[in-house]
Amino acid sequence: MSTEDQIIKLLNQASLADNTGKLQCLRNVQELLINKDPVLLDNMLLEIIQFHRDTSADVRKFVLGFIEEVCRKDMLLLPKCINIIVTLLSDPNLQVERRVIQVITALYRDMLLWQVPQRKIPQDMTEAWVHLSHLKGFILEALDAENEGIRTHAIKFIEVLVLCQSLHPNPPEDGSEVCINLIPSDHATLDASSLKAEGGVAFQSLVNFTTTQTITPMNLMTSIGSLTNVAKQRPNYLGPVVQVFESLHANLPPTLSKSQVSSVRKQLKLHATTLFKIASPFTARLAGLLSDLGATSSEIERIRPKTTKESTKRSS
Amino acid sequence: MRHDLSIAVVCSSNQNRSMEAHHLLSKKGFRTKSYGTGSCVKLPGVTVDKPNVYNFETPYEKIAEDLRNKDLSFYTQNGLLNMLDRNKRIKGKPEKFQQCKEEFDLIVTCQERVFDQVLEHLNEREQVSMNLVHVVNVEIKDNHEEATLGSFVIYELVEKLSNTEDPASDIDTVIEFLEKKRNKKFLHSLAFY
Repeated sequence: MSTEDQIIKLLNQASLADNTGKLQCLRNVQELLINKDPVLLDNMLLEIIQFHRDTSADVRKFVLGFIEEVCRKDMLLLPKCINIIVTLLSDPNLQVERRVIQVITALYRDMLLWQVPQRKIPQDMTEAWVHLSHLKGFILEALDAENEGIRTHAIKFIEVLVLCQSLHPNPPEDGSEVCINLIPSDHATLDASSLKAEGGVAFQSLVNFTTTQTITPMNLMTSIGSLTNVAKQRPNYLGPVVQVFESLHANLPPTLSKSQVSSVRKQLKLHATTLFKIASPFTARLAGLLSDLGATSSEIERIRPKTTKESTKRSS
Repeated sequence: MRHDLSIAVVCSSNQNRSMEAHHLLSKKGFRTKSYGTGSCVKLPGVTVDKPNVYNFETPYEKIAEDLRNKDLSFYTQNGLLNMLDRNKRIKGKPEKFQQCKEEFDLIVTCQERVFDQVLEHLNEREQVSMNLVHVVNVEIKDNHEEATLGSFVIYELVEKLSNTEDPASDIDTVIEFLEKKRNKKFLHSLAFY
């Protein structure tokens, strides 16, 4: 039996099966399409993504995962999937909605990565990018969402957006990462300066969100991790992030319980340690913060960045 | 509806505390794995200063055989051979958390140091899928009795969490409830794969 016949058989079985059976059939189809015969992807794509109307949230989540994997394999398939993503963003099931934000986060970065080296962008890809940019607006607003999990994933989206839309200290020549430095000034669809400005605004909104007194512990810990990832990879944000950490240490939200305070302080210490290991002008402030968070002086000396030790020696 | 959470229980050597909880959670139908974060597997020896040390690749059966050869009556009396017999019925050998590639919804640690090591490892990894994992520490002393009692606390945490409407968002409420009920403090953090 050809792969195509196998897929058709599995899709027929899926439409008649219960939820568990349906998911199993669809996973098998995905395996065949992505790993065995990817040339069939273009033809069979619509047959699979039509399951986004299924009554089972798990099946709808599967469709989103499938779209993510397919587009990462071949970005030119995004125009065929973008409407499904838009539709599922208003899904009544919270887990599906969160999965949509995750998929948009991955595709937003990958779509930028795909566009950067292109000299000419096909019309349908330009339209897909406009849709994605529109979805970005919804996610940025989701920091105010009622559901904590939705806000958590919105924070991760902002982390990715800030990383993609800021200057890289050493931009990779192989194009493996997206950053503002790599976008040519005459790019067909991307305007480096407005993307950079948007990245700066998004970073500030994350800082503001992190320092609100009503933030939940889960969101606070996610934000601390995201700010660390940003500062670690984009040193020009290190100063403001250190400032946020210092302010959090002095002024944690009053709504946290005793054990939540312990958990958040632990998270703060873990991430301040990560930033401390990077040689920077903020080493002394981070050492002070770590000490305030309970690190012993021998612990601090053990992880002190080497270059700083050398420069301290030189200066003494 | 019970959510089908994917769970990991982690202690230092993947012998006593994590395996006790692994045993109970699996029996109750939860998708469970267990790990240790230590550099090697340590089991009490005849004297406190001479523990039995193995690497994580050593099967439970081989460890049992070694202990039987060393002092059958001592290791029968202190319960180690019994424990190893239970372990080998769950899986072949202890597993090191830092080498595991799998993703989980919830990781329960049995000791604060292990909680720190788990978070440190998760935060050092490159984030790819951006899937969220909750990490909760339930402090359990490393002896048979405490491991049994601790496994019930872990089971209650997992059971309650999997029965909430939205486990990813409701975990703080569950932890608060259990802290009050058990008069215990739990540490809770999260990371992304």
